[in-house]
Amino acid sequence: MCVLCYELAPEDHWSDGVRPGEPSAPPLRDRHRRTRILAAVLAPYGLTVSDPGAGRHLTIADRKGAAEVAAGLPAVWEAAGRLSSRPLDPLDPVLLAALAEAGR
Amino acid sequence: MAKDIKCVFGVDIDAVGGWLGSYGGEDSPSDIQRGMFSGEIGTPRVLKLFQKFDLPATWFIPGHSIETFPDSVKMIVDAGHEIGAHGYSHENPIAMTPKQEEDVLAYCVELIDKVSGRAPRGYVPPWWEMSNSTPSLLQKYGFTYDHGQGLHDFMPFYARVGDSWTKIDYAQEASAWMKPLERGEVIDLVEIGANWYMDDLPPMMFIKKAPNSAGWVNPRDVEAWWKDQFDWVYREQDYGVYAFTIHPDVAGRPQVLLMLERMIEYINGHEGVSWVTMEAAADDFRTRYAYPGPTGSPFMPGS
Repeated sequence: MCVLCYELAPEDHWSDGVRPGEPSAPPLRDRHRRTRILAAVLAPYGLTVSDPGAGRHLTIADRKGAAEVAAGLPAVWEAAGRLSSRPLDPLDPVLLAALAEAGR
Repeated sequence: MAKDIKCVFGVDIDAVGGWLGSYGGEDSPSDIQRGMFSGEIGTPRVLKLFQKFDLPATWFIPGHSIETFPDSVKMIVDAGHEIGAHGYSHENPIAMTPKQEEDVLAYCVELIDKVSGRAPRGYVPPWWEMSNSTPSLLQKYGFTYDHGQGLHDFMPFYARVGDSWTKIDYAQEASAWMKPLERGEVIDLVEIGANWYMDDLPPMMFIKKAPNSAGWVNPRDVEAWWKDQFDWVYREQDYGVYAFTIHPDVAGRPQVLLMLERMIEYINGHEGVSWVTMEAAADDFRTRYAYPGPTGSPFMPGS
């Protein structure tokens, strides 16, 4: 736990995957890449992600004004599960079709 | 030149529709009750305020509020105020399909015509977001002005649509994003500028589902911002439109009503100030600066 903000240490999550970025990549580069991928994954569920660019927090929002701040990927998926009207499923055909369409 | 500062109250009755479409309250009975307060309690209070000072106002009423609060809407119509359109359930225009957006607009135009005897001329896009479809829909349904774009603050202008810009993609070469904004076309739709700093809702309405919601700003601080803006406009401009955007959800609360009374009295203490509807302000602007065509400047010379 951080003694300043009382947040628990970030948990690992399988969806963080293996970073292909070169070792010398700027620190924010992987972060932007991850946010971009998150945006593509969340879009079929009617959700958006925004990244303030500092700290571990991301904001997940629906299109009707509900939003949650999430620190770390496990919290992101939990928030997305609460905000989405459909259950999140990595094998969801709608998600897979959207990702294929986006050329990922 | 004599001062001619036109002051306008734009009143959005977001109410229950606001909680359904924009403030994340669809699962909260408490939030829905706050929306009911707006339509049933806050709206008559704001009307009474306008009556006290004999002010005209423009009420942008979502279709959901028109159908949920018929008695309050009748009071507004009977008092002679202008009615404008503001979505059905305060849906975000950029979240809707073009067909959904047209269905919402067409139905709301019909509702306003039915309750007021006149189709609306003015529109406020919920969230102050215009989609790519919005401008052509507004023209198709006979709107002459909009209160949604933020290109200027206290000077009306003509709407510009189709601005395009390049987002940064750090996976690309820098040359991919180093491109200036490209301006779109100016259209024949007067804009009374949307201005978050003249809006009562973000600072003074607590929204549980918004992580950055304030809602607890002292109205006396908001009053100071609004007076500073008025003072600057009055000092720097001979002509201008000073437009408030208020919501009975917020403005119907005692602490805000008292602040609005003080603001009105303060403004009324100045020469060359008048209170008009937003439609009157937009029509007056057209007489000062005719539509310049798609490649003209949206701004009146000197503004």
